[in-house]
Amino acid sequence: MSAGVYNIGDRAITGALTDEVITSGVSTQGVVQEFIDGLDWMAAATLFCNFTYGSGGATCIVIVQTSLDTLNWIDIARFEFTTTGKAKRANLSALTPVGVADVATLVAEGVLDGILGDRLRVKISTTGTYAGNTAIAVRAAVR
Amino acid sequence: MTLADDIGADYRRAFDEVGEVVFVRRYTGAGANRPFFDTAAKGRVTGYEPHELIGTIQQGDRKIILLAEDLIDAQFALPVTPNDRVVMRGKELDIIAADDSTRRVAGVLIAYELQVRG
Repeated sequence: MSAGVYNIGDRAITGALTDEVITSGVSTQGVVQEFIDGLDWMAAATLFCNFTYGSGGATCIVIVQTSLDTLNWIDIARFEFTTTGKAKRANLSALTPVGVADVATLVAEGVLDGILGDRLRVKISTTGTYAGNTAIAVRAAVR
Repeated sequence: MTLADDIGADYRRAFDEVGEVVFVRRYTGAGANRPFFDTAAKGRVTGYEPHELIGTIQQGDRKIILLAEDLIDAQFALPVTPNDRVVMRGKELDIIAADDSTRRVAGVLIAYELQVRG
């Protein structure tokens, strides 16, 4: 894998979802997996989250996660949307010094800088019933 | 190094010389504003011979041999299906068939053979 822009999740949104992982990656053997990996060289990740709104719905929470042990996932960015189409971005650096702290969930629009493992995934939670081709697209420019 | 590795490396060398970059476009959802993502891969684009124009193959269709390794490196969720599109030289083409069997070596997918139209 090389530096570049990766698709870390696309999803059409209709009914309510809870912690639904929307990432589709592939292993080196070509097997589909719910994350993208092979990013152990990643020093920074610029995230772009584009919410296309159609109609209906209430809230859409998008959480980008990484893992340091391939087992437990850590929230590193949280984007929130309601009933307006919007694009949001954030940038994270793996080189930011970080003190010891409990692994915790993020507050609305929060980021956790300085923690980047070798993989990324996105999960979403929504309330209400969206319609009219509402969709979310999340990209990561990794370098 | 396995035979599949050897043949994969041969494909890479050949495509670096005679291939071109094409994009596999995957849409999600419906509607004009649905999100999509383009994944670049090296491919070799050819036409069909007249004697190959049988079954679903029509005049004007093209065959693209597409390196699977590039798709895997870009974390493209395989397989490529007829629901995806190909963008070649700025033009979006329909995938009529995506063959992931012909160019396997010992079960390892080396390249796709795509029949595209448009």
